[in-house]
Amino acid sequence: MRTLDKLREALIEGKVEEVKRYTQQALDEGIPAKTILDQGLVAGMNVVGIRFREGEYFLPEVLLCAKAMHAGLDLLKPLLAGESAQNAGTIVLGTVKGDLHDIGKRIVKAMLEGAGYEVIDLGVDVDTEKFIESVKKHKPLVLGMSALLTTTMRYMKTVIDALQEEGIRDKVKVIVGGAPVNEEFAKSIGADGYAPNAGEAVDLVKHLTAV
Amino acid sequence: MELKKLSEAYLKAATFRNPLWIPGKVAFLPATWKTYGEELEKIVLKYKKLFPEYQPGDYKRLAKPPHPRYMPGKFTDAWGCVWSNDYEGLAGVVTESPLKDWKKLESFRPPDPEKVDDYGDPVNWDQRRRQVKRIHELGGIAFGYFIHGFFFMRLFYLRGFEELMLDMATGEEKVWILIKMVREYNLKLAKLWLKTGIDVIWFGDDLGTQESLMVSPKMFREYIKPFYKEIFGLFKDAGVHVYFHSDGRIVDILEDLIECGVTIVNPQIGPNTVEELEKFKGRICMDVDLDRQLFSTGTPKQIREHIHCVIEALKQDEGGLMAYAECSPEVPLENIEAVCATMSELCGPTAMKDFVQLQTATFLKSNGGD
Repeated sequence: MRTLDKLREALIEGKVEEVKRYTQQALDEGIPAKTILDQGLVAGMNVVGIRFREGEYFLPEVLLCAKAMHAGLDLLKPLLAGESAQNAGTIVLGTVKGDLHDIGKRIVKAMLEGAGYEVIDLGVDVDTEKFIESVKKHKPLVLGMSALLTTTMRYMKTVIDALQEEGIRDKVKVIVGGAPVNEEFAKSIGADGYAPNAGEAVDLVKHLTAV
Repeated sequence: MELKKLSEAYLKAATFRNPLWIPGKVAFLPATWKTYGEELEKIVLKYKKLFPEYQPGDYKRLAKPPHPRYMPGKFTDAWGCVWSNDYEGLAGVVTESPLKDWKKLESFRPPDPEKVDDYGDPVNWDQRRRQVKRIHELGGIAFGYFIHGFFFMRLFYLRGFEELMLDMATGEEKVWILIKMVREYNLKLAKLWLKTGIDVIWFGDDLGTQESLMVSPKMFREYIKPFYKEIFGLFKDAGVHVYFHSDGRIVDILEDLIECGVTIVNPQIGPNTVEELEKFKGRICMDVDLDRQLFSTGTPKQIREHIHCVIEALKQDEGGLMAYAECSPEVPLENIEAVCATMSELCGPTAMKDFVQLQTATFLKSNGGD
């Protein structure tokens, strides 16, 4: 089995130390960091995403695989910069103001990173100003907002309206998620998309950012 | 309405003995009372049938945060878990976990349930026994409760969510020490409740997300189910009805919950679906948690149709159905009215108070306890 195949399999099984070892082995074999990332780590996380969507994996398995992915990524990062390789793009995520729930967003973050995106996580209780500032600063492809409460999900519209007022709404795709949110709500507030789970969030981002 | 009649309807529904009505509860969070005040009171008084104990002016009391964890800011519970809150009248979330570092496990001590509850408030068990006795004298049934998050959630409150998930995924041995500690605390608490003579015990532990369980059914059966079976069994063996609430999708383990001794389950309709819950009709009493997300975003017509659809699908003459409708502060008043009107049409009152009241024990006082 090729090293990259072994790396991918180790990641799918959530074997942190093996992922580290095979990443290093692939580098030692002279495989470019970008190839290791795409054909090893990202490819592995794609399978993890599929297994999560299909109900084979649950949160513990996904988080373990994400941890394994980071173990490999840490070895690649300095080299990726040297190779001037591009990541898949930047995504800004945050749980909206008034809401301190974080778990769902962190799973989405892990899956997006697994798909090769750079994720700027603004944390919880994020107000309009912080979202706007981050969009201006990082120029993300996508802004993702999360809410767990029906009480706080309406703030997503406040942020979208503010993006409009700032004249930057057309510069970024906006996606929303969280337990109380659905497709209909997303449309009603002018979001570009909604995903019911982390796996589909990755597909949605890919779809929205496809050139 | 007499407490005796309320209690009779509740027990008959729970045990499939042809109740006269479907016990229904429309619950308002303190934040909802704070938002609408008198306007909400007008609706409540209009549908008095569902709110037999409500007295004019009660909204002022109900709007107040019943506990520090419903106040903005930080609050540390009896286990050392720090809760943060941004919104007066809603419960906060745990943001700091005392056992993120396993090194602290050895010296960690859980609270003593004989003296304080999970939130650190003093508990007087003699008083609780007297309250239960008084409720029985009035012909009522008495409810005991464990906190929302008594086991699985307490594990991740203590350890941190990601940390616990990784521990479970990797088979970390220390998780079993943590489980043993939380188990022992809860068993001690169970024995104290059993001595009071309660009729129904309320458990809440969120196990699901919108689409699935948080952990696989296999992992549930390995880490969680054995303890559920043990503690629910203690109550079941003593003739106490076991009420179990969980947010999210739990229909995949409903069979397990029945096996563990749950007699009344409180599943959310959205993640579990009417179709899937219908398969359990007649096997377990369902206090079905109606779609609160629809209450927030739907139209009054959609809400009426939803409640009709769920109750028509799940009801049986023998019983086995209760209905719960929770309205958060952003639910428009016309939607609240639609919820109350439809619930009033299809259900009668329930003997069980809502979650906030249960956990602040006001219901005992209002029923003649000391």
